[in-house]
Formats: sequence, C-alpha cells, structure tokens
Amino acid sequence: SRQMLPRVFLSQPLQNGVSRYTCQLKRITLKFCKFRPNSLGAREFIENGDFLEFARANPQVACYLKPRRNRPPVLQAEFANGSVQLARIDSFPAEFVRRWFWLMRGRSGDDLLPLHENLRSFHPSVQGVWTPFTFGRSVGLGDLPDSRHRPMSPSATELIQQLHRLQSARMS
Amino acid sequence: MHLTCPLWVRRIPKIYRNNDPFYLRNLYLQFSFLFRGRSSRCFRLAEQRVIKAFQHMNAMRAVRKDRFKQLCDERIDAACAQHGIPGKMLVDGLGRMNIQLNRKMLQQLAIYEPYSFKSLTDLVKQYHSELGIVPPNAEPPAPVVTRGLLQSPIVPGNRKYYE
Repeated sequence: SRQMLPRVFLSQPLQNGVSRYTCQLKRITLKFCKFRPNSLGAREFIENGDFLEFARANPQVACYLKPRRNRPPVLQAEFANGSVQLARIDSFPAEFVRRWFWLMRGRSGDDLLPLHENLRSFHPSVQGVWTPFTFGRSVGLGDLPDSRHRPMSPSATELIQQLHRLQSARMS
Repeated sequence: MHLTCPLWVRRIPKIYRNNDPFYLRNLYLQFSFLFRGRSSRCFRLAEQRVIKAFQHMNAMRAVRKDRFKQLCDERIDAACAQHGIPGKMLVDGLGRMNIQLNRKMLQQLAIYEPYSFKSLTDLVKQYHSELGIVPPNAEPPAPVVTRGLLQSPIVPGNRKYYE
C-alpha cells in the first residue's frame, strides 16, 4: 500500500551524471555451489569467461567469487551509498546471470520503490509551459455566472426550493 | 488422542517451519505499522485492516489506469478546445495519419510543448478539410503543405509507392 511504500521521484545520489558519471556499484560477489544443479548457470557463466570479461570491462568494481557448499547461488552487489542488493539466481541460465551482473553495474543502490513517473527532468519544457496567455487571451474570458458552467448536482438553495415546491404541491 | 507411531512423528512440527503464532501475527503487523490507532499494534484488529488494504490495492490497479486515461482525455479535450476541435477528433485523426502518439504523450505535449500541440491540431484540421469535413467553431489552420501524403501516409508497407 502507498502508506508503506510511498511513491518517489526518480533521483540519482548526489546528482550523479549531471556533470560526471560515477559507477555506483563498488563490489559484486557471486556465491555459488560447485556441485549442485541450481548453480549450473553460475558455473557456466564463470567457465565461459563472461565473469572475467565483466571484471576486465569494469575495473572500478571489485568482483569476488565465493564457492559455498550446499547453498543456492546468489549475486550480492554493494553500492556506494552502503546498500546491499541480493539477486537470487537459482537455476538461471548463464545468459541470465550475465544480464544480472550488467544490471547491477547500472544501478545506483537506491531502494526499488514505486515511482510517480518513469522520467524526471528539471527542464521538462522547451517551448514554455502552457499558460492561459500562450495563444493570446482566448481562454478564461467571459463573465460569471456563465450559463455553460452548470453544476451536475443541484445546489443547497435549489434543493430547498424543490422540497418547498413538492411540499406545497402535497398540501394543496 | 491416540495416534500410531508414524502419525505422531508427522505431527511434530519441523524445526525450520515456525508454527509459533508470533510469526503469522508479525507478518500482518509488518503491513499495519503505519495504520492509525490500535490497528497498527493489535493483531486481531490489524488482520482485518490489512486484508481490506490488500483488497483495495488489488481493486485500485484497474481503477488507476482508468482514472489516468480519463485525466489524459480531459487534458487533451481542454487543449484541443482552445484550437477548435474535439479531443476525440485529434486522437482519431492522428491515428488515421499513422502518427503514433498515445494519450499520455499528447497530454504531455499539450502542457509542456503547446506550439507542437497546436501544429498537431493543424495537421488534423488539414487532414479533415482534405476529406471535406470541417470541424465546427474552428479557425482555418496555418497553411500545411501535405502533397497528398496525409491521405496516404508512408507506412512501412507502402513505402514502395514512393520510391
């Protein structure tokens, strides 16, 4: 519910990317089992050289491998803001594990919360935000009360007048 | 109750399956911790409120989409009314010309890019005037050079006619 998970606006820690982009992922650990079948994808990911490829392409990230007996495979990513994110890669194919690695590389470490909008800009308008004066003073003209602006439900005065009419009709 | 040995063994709760009532109640209270009053503290009240909150969350998913669509329609209608055409005509006309802008983008353009939106309304007016349909209360649009392309837009399928 929105009490527990209020919507947030898209943001980057310290306006990352405005002038210079810093990779927010600091450490990534692949925990896997050397024998169990649900770690097969993780093992293939390592053996195919994709893990080394990721580590060489991202010297800013400390990459660790952690073989653990009889445990399901997990990807642990630690970010600059101190948060830790876990991705359970139980029985994933090697390609999916590779995609999770590169996804963590692009994350900022902020909590995954529901967004108001998927976009955010401090300058959303290039032509200028619409005002009633954008196309000349063509809206908002006229005198009140306007016969076109009739409310759908009767006002309190009208209700009382209706009641009075009904009552006098009944009396007479 | 007298049970045979195998059934007695099965009845013993497993070590790693927590049967203590605390765990279920804590689950509900985790969801209710921001509620008002005792519903946030007492399980017997929280259970009812949390179940109702889940029902609301479920029901609101479809309603939220409908409401957003209504909002977009209202905004497009209001913006089009300033240029003299109904909002439905804009959406329909753009679709016929294979200009793929959905309601969400149209309302964003209407708010943040009003001159682009005006040019879209001009396009739609031109399209309809080429067909002989004159929108009521409409100013004549700025001259739009179409070369007949509005009636037969270049879509991936008919590109060969223009080569």
